[in-house]
This record gives sequence, structure tokens and C-alpha cells, in this order.
Amino acid sequence: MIRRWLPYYLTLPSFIVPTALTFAWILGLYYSLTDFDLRYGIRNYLGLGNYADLITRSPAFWGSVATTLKYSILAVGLSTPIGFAVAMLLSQLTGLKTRLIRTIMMAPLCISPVVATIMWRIIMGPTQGLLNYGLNLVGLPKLDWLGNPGIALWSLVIIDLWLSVPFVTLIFYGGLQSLPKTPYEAAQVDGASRFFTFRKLTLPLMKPFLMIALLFRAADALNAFDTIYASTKGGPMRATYMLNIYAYDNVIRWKQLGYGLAIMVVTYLIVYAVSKRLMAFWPR
Amino acid sequence: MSTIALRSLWKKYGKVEAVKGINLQIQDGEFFCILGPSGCGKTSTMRMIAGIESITAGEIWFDNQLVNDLAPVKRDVAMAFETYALYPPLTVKENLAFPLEARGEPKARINERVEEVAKILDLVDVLDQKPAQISGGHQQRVSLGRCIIRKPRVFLFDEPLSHVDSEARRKMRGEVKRLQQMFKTTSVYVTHDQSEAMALADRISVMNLGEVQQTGTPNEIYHHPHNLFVADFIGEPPFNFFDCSVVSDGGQLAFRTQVGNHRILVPNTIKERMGDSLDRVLRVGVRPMYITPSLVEQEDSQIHGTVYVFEGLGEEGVLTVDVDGSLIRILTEPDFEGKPGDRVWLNVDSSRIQVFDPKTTNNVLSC
Amino acid sequence: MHFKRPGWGKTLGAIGMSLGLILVLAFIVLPLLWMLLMSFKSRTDVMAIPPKIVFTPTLVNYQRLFFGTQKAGYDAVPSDFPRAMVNTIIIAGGATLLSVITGTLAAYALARLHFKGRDFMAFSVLSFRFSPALSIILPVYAIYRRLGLYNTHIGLILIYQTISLPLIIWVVRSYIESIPVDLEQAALVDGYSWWGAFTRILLPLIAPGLAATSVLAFVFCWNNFTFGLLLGAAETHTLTVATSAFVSYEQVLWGVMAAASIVTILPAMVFIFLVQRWLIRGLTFGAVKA
Repeated sequence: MIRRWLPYYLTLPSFIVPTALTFAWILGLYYSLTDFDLRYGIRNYLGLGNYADLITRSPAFWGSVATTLKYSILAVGLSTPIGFAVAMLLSQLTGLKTRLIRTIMMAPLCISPVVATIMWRIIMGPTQGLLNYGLNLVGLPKLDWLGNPGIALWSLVIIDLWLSVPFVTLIFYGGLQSLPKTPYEAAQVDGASRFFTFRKLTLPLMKPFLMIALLFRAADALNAFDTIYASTKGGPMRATYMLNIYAYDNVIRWKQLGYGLAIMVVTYLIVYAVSKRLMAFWPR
Repeated sequence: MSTIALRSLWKKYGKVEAVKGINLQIQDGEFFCILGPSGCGKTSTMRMIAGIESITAGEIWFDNQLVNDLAPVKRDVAMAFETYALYPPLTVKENLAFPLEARGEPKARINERVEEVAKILDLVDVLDQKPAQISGGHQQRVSLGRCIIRKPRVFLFDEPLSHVDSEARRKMRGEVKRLQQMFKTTSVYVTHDQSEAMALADRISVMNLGEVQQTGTPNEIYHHPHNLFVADFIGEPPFNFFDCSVVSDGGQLAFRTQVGNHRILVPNTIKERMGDSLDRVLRVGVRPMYITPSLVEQEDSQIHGTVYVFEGLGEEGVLTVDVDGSLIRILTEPDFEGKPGDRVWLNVDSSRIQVFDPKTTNNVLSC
Repeated sequence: MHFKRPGWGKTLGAIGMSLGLILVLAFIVLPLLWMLLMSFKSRTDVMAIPPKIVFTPTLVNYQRLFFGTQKAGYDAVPSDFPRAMVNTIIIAGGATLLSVITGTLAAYALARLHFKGRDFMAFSVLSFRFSPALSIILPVYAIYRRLGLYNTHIGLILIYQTISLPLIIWVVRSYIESIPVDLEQAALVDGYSWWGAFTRILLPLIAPGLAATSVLAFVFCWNNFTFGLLLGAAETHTLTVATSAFVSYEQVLWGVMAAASIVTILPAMVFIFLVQRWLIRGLTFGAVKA
């Protein structure tokens, strides 16, 4: 502990930006309680009116909640085990191969989700796309990846996997590397099979990392916007219409800032609730 | 129960030769120590015996079975690690049960065994705690418990006491010996602490730089070290050495120190051996307890010097004497009255000296 | 799990593992490669059915990007792209710089000083990561319009703090916490002020981690889309927004779009490649602290 006041005066100003942002957030909360229209400004204070409208009079809202949840469950449910498996595979390698593969794995992390989505649009193109070409080669029928309402959500999940599996892999990889090595030698001597060791030793030790991965993934999936905007914009026929897109439409297309913000607040609440629920499993 | 044979065992890490073609024969039920300083290859050897380290060349035999390619589990060994290597997410009870559970033993039997072992090692109070929550001493006992719960063919101890504080270490030493005798299992114990090896082992193998320097009972190693390394490594305080040449002193053969011109009589027992070594420079060694100091010059005093420091240790005393610039350590009575700077005369018990060739480092007397 | 010892891991399993890894790597690399190829394809090659793998490369797309024109309605105007590049450098760079300065100080305060509301501040900084970007942007949109910060570099630099600041504060805080206070206290005893201790002792120790994290923050800013989209207009378009603008010309400009994507990706990849070793350590390091 250092001399009293000077450090405070000098470091607390750096909290200005976060404070301002928090203020903006609270302002947004306030706006969600009004009928703020971008053309006319605020006319009435509505209390929880917007929220009531959302719940009772907006099928689009419930549709987008369902779609968002479906997407999130798929995205998180797939990327986490895949990332874990890849991390395990990666940690079996040694030397140069590891570095090379790790570097390749980092590529999707450096790429803007929007750019990645564009890239996948090219590949998922119904007529000229690489994917359909490949399917054709093997004799399978071509698919309209982003245009078919039945498949579109899955295509978005694929794009998300491309972006997120490296991230999840790296988290688990770091975790696996940080595990103590001698208990594993002891397990060998004690005669434990690979699976037994994994179940009793690795899994429990990896719990904190699993939590981190799940928290980040859940938040990112529930908050998805970039990729959807850059690809389907919520279509086709609302197959990929998620909460954030709904909010975006409300604000930018229909100029309803208050209503849009209400949707955002609800989204945040969902994320918060999910995070809380996940944290309950934290091994403390 | 098993004999263990190491034949021309090699271990290389890339270009580094950690174990250089060693040969060892360990008897059934024996408590065998591998002793040596850090980096001598003892741990690598043990890990190869366990099967967690691959063998570069050579063979390891358990009884009549070549175990080179067998997984650790098939070798039926148990190992106590230097760092305990307990399973962090499991309770002490689960840690102890792990080896049995891994082999699919029935629950009832597992619980039985865990209770037994917990009683033997005094772990009953901590059964429900995790390794991070218990003391180092407890952790060490859990590590041992995990070893004995299976009743394996061989016990392997990799410096299990090196992180235990000295008070507990002496106690635990006794416990380890007791356990081994209880189960009469062949045990290999690796350590860098020579007093530990001397106290515990039936036989010791001293290693340095990947090679076995000498194998024998504690007695043999202590009294008849084969080379300078073993002589210097065993015993605390260690051997005192004097570089001497053999001279004839009016019919009597004597060792004349190169520095200071002191004379130690050559005992009759080795006279013939020394006869043809006139003018050869040899290193003569004497253990601290075979030198008698006196503050008054005696008739049979052979060496003289000045007191450097005296440490009274209760049951005995350690006197350090400055002899022409070298420090000689002597074990004495606890109430020796010399002060730094006093002149002191030393008498060496010639029958206890060992003679080494400084160039080959070998013991001239045992070869 | 390191099982390269006798008995564990049979060859069949090893083949399966390699196969799995290859599949994953192919999944990651192929799309990128394809886009790279596409950026060098002429207009006809781009549209070819079936897609061509062998073709004569051309730089036409890149030329278009930097020196060419783009359609605005039926007029031709000079390409937006070079300006988008400059914008992105200014905004991402400025945001990172601001975050490094304020974030390091804030991290220091959070790690070393004890004050009321400390945990609350830490939590709120972290929570920005979990809120939908839009929930911040939309009210800010309204505010910015009123304050005249809409469509300005400064405005964007400020709002980009939501991306870079939490990251820097979070990671730097855990770095600082991992360094024993004793070193700074020794410096204080030797007569340095707290600022001296901070700059001479602490900063050099966290410098490599800080550098790596700032690169990561820079890359995240570089790659951001929503802020640039909603709080900027033509003058302040970032690369990501400019690239996505090609999307409306679907049928015609795939090649240029691919080229734009490659240009957007390249700097980020280079940076990440340079600091990758620290990142893995930092990612998990900071991760457990949360």
C-alpha cells in the first residue's frame, strides 16, 4: 500500500471511459422505458410498456427468442466439445508440428466475423460455391445453404464454428498444458486406462476452463449480430431472425429507438441469466 | 515379489547420455538404494524400471520376464514420487482407492483396503480432504499409501522424503523401512541423501554421471570405497584427504604429505602393496572419527595444525583443523577445549586409512 | 496428457487422430485459400461453373480496389477503399493507444490500490464483453448525433474503447497481480515515488505481455464491424464496413470483394503471428482469473 491520494487522482481518471459507457448503458435502459422515435424524440414515458408489448403483442419477438436460443444451443453445444477434442489432439503432438498447427488455428481469430461471413457466402454460393461443387463431385445434391429456410440457421452455425472452434481450442489447449504432469505418470503406474484417467483426472481439472469457454461462447452466441447481418440479415423468411437483428430493424428501419432498446435489455437479461446459471457450476 | 536385473541399460536424451550402460542385480525382497548427486542418472534409471521412461538400449528383467516393452500397469509396480503426484481433484480416500478402482476391483473390497491403509499410515482424519488442503507430511503419507494399497511386485521410491522437513524426515524414514519389512516387497529407493541410503538400504548402488561407481552393503561402501567419488560422497563429515608420496623412513614406510611434510605411518597390513610405490603420489584418506586430536604434542602425533573452528553438537563435536591451508574435519568428544588459533596435534589411526590413485581415482587397496 | 510411453497409444488410434486434425485444419484453411485464389481471378474466372482451381492469376481486383472506381447509383466515384484503410488505421490505432494508456493505469489501480467500489468497477468493465454491442451503440448513437460526434474519428475511437479497454484492463491486471509487490516496495524504500516504482519496476516486467495484448486489442478493433457501421458514415468507414459494402453487388464483384477481404485480413494475421506465443499464455492466464 502506497502513499495516499496521488495515485488515486492519477489512475481514476482512466475510469472515465468505462464510466461513460456505463452511463450510456443506463441511458439506453431509460430510453427503453419511453417511446423514443428517431424522427420525433421522446414523446411519452411508457414505463414497462415496451416490454409488455414485446411479450404480448409481438410474435416476431418470440420468434427471434426461439431462433436465438436454437442458434446458441447449437453453436455452444457443438463448438465446445469439438474445441476440447481438438485441444486434446493438439496436446498429443510435439515440437514443430504443434507450433505450426497452432499458428494455423489462430487464423480465424484474426479475421473479422463479417469478412469471414463474406468468405463463407462465396463458398456457400448456390451455383458457383465451392461447397456445392464438392457435394456434386461426390454425387450429393446441391444445397442452397443460405437461401433455404430449413438450412440457413445451420449454415450460420457452420460459420460460427469456423470462427469459434479455434478460440475454444486455444483456451482448452492452454488449460491442458497447464495441468501438472506427474499425476498422469502416477496414473500410468497405478494402471489406469486412458479413459479412466480422462474421466477422473482431466475432466475435473479442466472444469474452470470449461466454464470460461462456455461463458464466452454463450454470450457471443446470444449476442450474435455481425455474421447474420452480413449474410442473411435475418432471412430467408425469418429463418435466422435473431434478437439483435430484430432490435436493429426496429431502430434503423422503423426508427423505434425505445422499442429496440427494450429488446436489447431483454437480450442482456437472457445473457445475464444464462451466465449466472453457468457460474453456479463453478468449482470453488 | 520379484528380482530386478538391469543389463547394459542406456538412456539418452538426444545427445545427452544420462545412463551409460549400467548393470544391476536386485534380489527378491531386498531394500535397494540408488544413491548419487543430482544428474547422476538415478531418477532416469528408476523411471525406466517403472516404465514411464523409454529405454534407449539394454534390458530390464523382472524375474525371468523381459519387461522392456511392457506398460507400467503390466509390470505391477508401485511408485512414490518426489513431488507426491497426488490427484488434485480427488479426496484422499479417492486417491488411495484410485489404483484399485482403475483395475476394476469391487467397491466393498476397495473400501476395506482403504480403511486398512489409512489406519497403517495414520490418515483416517484426512480421508475426506483434498491434497491441496492437507499438510506436506500427510501428502507424503498418501503417496505411500497409494503405493502399498495394491500389494505390487516392486516398490519404487523416487526421493520421497526430499521435500519433507528434517524433523519429519527422520520419522518417515523409519516408517518407510517398517513398511518395506512389513510387506517384504522388493524395493528400489532413489535418493541423494547418503545418510538416508545408509540407514535404509540392504545394499546401495552409488551412481555418478550415468555410471555405477560401486554396489555393496552400506558397510562395504563405507569402509571400503572403490574410488574417490564414493569415498567423498559417503559419510558426514566426509573423508579427509592428503596427497602423499611413499617414503622410506629408516626402514619404516610412511606417507609423507606433499604439503607440510607430515608423516603417516604405513600400517603393516598394506606394507607389501606400498613397497613398489616409492615416490608415487597417492591420495590418502582418513575418516573423521579415526583421527584423534590433542592440544599437547604426543609421541605418536603425525600431523599438526591450528584449530580453525570447533562445533559442539551435543552428543559429539566437529573440530575443523587448518593443516597447511587445508581444512581437516575430525569427530571428537563434545567438550573439546580448543579455540581458533590453538596449535593441535593429530594422530591418525593407520589401520583405517584408504589409499587412492589420484589419476585413476581408484582405491589402490581394493583393486 | 502426454502419453508417448510404451503401451499407450496404438497406431490405429494415432491414424484416427491425425485424420481428425487434418480435417479440422482443412476446414480452417481451405476457405481462406479459396478466397485468396478468388481475389486473383478475372471476372469471367470468378463466375465459372464449375469453379476453377487452375487459372491465370491477375491483379485486376486489387487494382480496382485501390485505384479504380465504384458504382454509386449509375455514377462512378473513386474507390472508397484506400480511405477506409486509412480510417481503420487511425481508429484502431488510436483506440488501442488510448486503451493502453488508460487501461494500464486502471489495471494498476485495480491490482494494487484498495478503494471502495473496486470490485464493482472490475465487474462492470468485464460485463461490457458480455453485453450486446448494440445495447451500447444505440443510446450512444442518439447521444453522438446530438454532440456532433457522429461520423468522427474521435467518436469512433472513444466507442471502440468498449472492445479494447476491457481486454487490456483484464489481462494487465492479472499480469500485475502475478508480480509480487515486494519489488515495488523495495523501490519505494530506496526512495522512488510510486510513479517511479511503476515506470521503472513494473512496466518493464509487464512490457512483453502488454505489447502482445495491445496487438490483440488492435486486431479486435481492426476487425470490428458494428460500431463503424452504425456510428460512422462514408467519411469514416472502416475496412470491415467497406468490404461488406460489396455485398450488395453480389453478382458482379465477387473478385473485388475477395480482394478487399484479403487486404482486411492480412495485417491482422501478420500481427497475430508475431505475438502468438504470448497470446496462448495470456488467454488462459487471464481466463482463470475471471
